Amino acid sequence: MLFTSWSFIFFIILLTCVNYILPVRYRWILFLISSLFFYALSGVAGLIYLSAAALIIWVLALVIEDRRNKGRDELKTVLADASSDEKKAYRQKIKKSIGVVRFAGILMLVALLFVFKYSKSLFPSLFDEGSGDGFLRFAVPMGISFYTLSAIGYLADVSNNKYGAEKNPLKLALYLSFFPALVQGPIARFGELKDTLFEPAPFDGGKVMEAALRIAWGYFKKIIVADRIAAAVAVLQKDPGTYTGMYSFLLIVFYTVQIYADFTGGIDITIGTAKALGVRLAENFDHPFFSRTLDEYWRRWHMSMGSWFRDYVFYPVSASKALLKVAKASRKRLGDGFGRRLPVYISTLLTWALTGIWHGTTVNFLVWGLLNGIFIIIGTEIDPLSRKLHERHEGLRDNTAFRFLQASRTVALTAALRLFDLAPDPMTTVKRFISIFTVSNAGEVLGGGFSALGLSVYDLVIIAAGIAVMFAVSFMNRDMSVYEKLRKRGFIYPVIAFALLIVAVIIFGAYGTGYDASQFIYNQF
Amino acid sequence: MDKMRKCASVIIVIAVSLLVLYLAQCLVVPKYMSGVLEGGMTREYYEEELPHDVIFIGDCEVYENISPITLWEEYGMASYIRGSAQQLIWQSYYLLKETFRYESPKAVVFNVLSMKYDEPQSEAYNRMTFDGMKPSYLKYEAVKASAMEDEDILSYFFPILRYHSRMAELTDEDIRYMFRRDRITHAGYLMRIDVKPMTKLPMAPSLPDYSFGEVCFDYLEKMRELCQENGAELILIKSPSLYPHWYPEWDEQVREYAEEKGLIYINYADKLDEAGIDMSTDTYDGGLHLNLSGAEKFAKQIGAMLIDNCDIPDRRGEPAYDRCWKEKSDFYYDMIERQKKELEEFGYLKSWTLGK
Repeated sequence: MLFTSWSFIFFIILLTCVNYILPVRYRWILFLISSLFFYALSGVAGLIYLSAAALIIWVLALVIEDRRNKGRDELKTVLADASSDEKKAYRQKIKKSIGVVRFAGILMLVALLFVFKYSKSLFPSLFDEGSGDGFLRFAVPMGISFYTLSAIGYLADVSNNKYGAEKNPLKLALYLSFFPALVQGPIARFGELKDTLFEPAPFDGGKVMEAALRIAWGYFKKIIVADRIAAAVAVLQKDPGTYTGMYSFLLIVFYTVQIYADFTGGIDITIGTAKALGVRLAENFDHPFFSRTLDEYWRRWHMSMGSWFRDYVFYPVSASKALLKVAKASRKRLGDGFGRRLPVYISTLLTWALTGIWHGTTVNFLVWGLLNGIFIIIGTEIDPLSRKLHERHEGLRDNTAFRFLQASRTVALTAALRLFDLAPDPMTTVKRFISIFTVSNAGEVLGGGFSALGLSVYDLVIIAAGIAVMFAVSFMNRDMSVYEKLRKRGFIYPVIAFALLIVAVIIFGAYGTGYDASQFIYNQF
Repeated sequence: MDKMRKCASVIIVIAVSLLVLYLAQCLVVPKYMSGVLEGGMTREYYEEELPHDVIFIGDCEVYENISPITLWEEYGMASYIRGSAQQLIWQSYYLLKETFRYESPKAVVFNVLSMKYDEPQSEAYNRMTFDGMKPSYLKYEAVKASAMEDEDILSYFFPILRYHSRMAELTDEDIRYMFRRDRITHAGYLMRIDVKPMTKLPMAPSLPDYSFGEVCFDYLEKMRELCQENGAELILIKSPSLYPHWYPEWDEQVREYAEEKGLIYINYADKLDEAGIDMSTDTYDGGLHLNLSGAEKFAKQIGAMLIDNCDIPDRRGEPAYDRCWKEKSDFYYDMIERQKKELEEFGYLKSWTLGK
């Protein structure tokens, strides 16, 4: 069921109504049933996999908790009079035993992710894609990348005693399968989500209005901007040999607009849907295009993914025995400056390599991830120079023009790196990028190139207007949500805004026959 | 009071939004007032003042080949053609079912060419048939039976959901006909006075299977039952167009069905001489459809058959019918003059076609 389909809209309206009829303590059951129904629509096989994975994770988390509790009890009873060395050794033993279970669970999840998501790209000959050559045949379960991360995070948090293991397997299944967040995130943490997921907020007309406005805003971004520009991006992407020079530049600009409108729009619909049901999902974006540096950008774009890789990859790798050894050696050989930073850079590169691989199965994504890591490292290395500059020119940091320049540089860098999303291999990406500076075809593009891409003047006007509205709303949203601002002006203003968005989507949206009812870009990750 | 005010303001916002959407919809829906006129035919039925004694139902082989004005002038027969481009048999069934809600004709004449299609053919033809149909559960059923795989049924009831993309291609016609339409047919007949003789009949390609689909016979049977329930005589015809080809194997299947059910079936394609139809003067597109001359000849022929077989009253002399059909006749002869003028001026019917 596509988020942009009528069936989804009717589904959430119906679900919201039923939700508030039920007593609060039973609502999670409704969420579970509707999530499983939503999931089953994409394939029953995927549902079986999800259920099995949830069951195994549930058992493993209980085993982890049981071992920890037993260990604690033994320390208080049997080992109460033992020496501190004996107690320490026992604690180590328990920790190791918990680590083994956690490792087994994570290994299983990663292995399944590898089998379902990556094996087809790595071993195409094993798969029967109608040619009859291979013998394997299965579809990638919907949202596997997202719930794999959620499940790993849950296991890691339980083993680190951040919260107790969930006793009810159905509740854990709900956490892993909660349908609004299943297809494209945000990657919700169990500790943050469980309270409102299992005991959602009671009916609040204002909250439901806010949710409706958020959903309508998501549709505005997705259907008016992202889907209108999608056809042009598809044309440019498909033929890197023909569309070089200015076309490559256009591809960067268009894709940046598309992915922003598509992904943030999708997350608006996700968060709005959850909010309408009384469930609070964490925000996933914080005005990323206002970021001064790449590092800051990744703290503001797809925040749940960034924080997941930071907490479950970067920190554990940085604190691992192997890297601590490297840190010791590098400080000794390279000194306290670069020698101290080197292990952090290794962790950074490893984290970004995994982030890239998580996004896609081709080498392009690995290169994209590594380049992000490298640019962040470069940013860290030149930070002292930047600080000196700011010390000399004190007002520079708050200078609007300078901030705009920094934000533009960040946007340009991230946009250029996204070219890797759009080509089959890194060489094609590099050639495409270089062609911007070597191929002179601006005249051709301006003299009819847009219509060749399927974009009429009308389309360009709608896209430009859509971008202007997105920018204005984003700007207004910086200190307080637009909903709050409207609500403060009067009860009717959010209603008017909602009506305007719906009318705009219906009249100016790119949907229906003649348009590809495109999936959200992040569904594929 | 505060609650009342809040409710009132929400209602006003909703009403204004719906009004804006309605106006936008009026603007963007195709008007079918020039070029492709066929999409405007279904709608015109609802403007009929008086009931009809004969309803013709089917595709272009009825709405291009029979002149109800001639039927009136020759026999005093009040008839109407509920036809649209490539009207599939289930579309005919639902349109007929709807017709019985409005009136009780004595005879229903169904052209059997559409028996050859047992699945939806194209969105464009679906739209031309249903864009003008009044919203009802019947319409929902008809659209559901006809929609192609990627079509959105809801958009047949809220056409802005389909035609919003026309915003980029609006013409003067869209503004001019935003809230009104001109009449384009003569009791469902789409007139063409120009002539394009049939030079040769294309070879009929052989088919792997000549059997009509089961679904077509199901709907034919439903039509028969519907007519029976409503006291109307169902008559099956094959209109006198020479192609698309009407194979003997197809003819035989319809003949067998008609015999089994006790229905009249006449293949008028075999009776061109009897009507005096000459494909060198009576067709405007080389034998596919008849022009005005052919349609008038065929109307005389089929009118005589209806008089012989059904109890069709002569309504001439009834003041309401005389007034109503006088208006129709005036419009008919006025259009003949306008088409003649265009033919003289441009050499082709500029307002009635997409071009030369």
